[in-house]
Amino acid sequence: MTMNRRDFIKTNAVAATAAAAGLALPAVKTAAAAQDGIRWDKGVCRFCGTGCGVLVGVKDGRVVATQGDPDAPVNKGLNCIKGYFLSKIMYGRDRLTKPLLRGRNGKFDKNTNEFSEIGWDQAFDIMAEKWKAAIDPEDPKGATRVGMFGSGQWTIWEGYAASKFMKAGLRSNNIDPNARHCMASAVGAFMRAFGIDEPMGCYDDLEHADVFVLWGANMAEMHPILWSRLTNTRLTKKGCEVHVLSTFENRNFELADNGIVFTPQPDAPPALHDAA
Amino acid sequence: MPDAQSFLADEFNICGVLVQTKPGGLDDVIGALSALPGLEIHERAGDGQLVVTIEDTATDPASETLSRVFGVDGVLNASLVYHHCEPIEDILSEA
Ligand code: SF4
Repeated sequence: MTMNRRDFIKTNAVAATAAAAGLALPAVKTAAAAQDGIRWDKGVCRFCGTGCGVLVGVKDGRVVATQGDPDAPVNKGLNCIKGYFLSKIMYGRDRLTKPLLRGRNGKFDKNTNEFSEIGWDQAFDIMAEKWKAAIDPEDPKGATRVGMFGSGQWTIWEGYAASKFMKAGLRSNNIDPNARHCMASAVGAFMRAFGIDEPMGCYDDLEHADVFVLWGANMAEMHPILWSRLTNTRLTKKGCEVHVLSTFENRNFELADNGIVFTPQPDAPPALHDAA
Repeated sequence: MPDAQSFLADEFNICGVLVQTKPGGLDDVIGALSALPGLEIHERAGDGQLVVTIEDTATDPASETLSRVFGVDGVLNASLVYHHCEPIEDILSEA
């Protein structure tokens, strides 16, 4: 039987989706998929902190397909709709792919808002020159004049290389990921409330817990994959309850056994109110 | 944002989506989903789950339709399992 490639791709999409639901469709060819000229590798989605495993399909040097990794313990074959942009985002027509220099006529000038394309070699030369001038080895405080902002989503290897470059190479301590900004305040609050930092619990609790309390957390929209696991537990486990506390009715309320909308900044914590 | 139309003309774009529905209202959800452009329902799995595909149509990009799935009454969640997007000329040349 011949199948055109469009139908073939569609069949793959259906088969993968059915498999994620635990449905085995009559042997749709994994063998055929291997002949499709797509090379599959593993990656991780970086669009939120959930950390879903993703299989990435590359054909002729271009990402053409992505699929939730069925073997990833976090997402078990699912991605959320943000995963739609995992491949798309790399080929957006408005994506910046060449370095831009602020200035005029190929010369750096901080006083203008004009930018023009330059080559990578020239870009690195200019950056090196500016950094060297800022650091000034004669000045003991020279290294404090440069800094690097990293990302909480960079890989261990990227973070390691960046850290060595800044600390060992440039002798500067000015390196931090954005995670410092977001977690520093959370850690402070955790210490005050619970005496220990870091969020408590682990993903496995989503299957083991009997009662869920979502307080000020719009899981359905912000952490959709973990929400799908919670949904699954609520619908399949006898006696499982979901309590949602929020200042407005968010999408979690569709599943809530007990949805509480409270006015912002109430006199008494809503939990006490509910228990009373 | 590049306009959606420019994507539609030259790409074959398809999503495999698993839709979790609220117990009880499956038929209504199926009716409402079937009315969405480019959406096809392929299988019903246990526990009110539906296996659907969403494709670009001449007027509606798949990404829009995907977002509209969440607005359908009785849909608790929709997860993207599979996404394929490839320039159409590559597909035609191999068809
Ligand atoms: S929940 Fe969505 S955005 Fe977050 S890691 Fe998973 S696929 Fe990516």
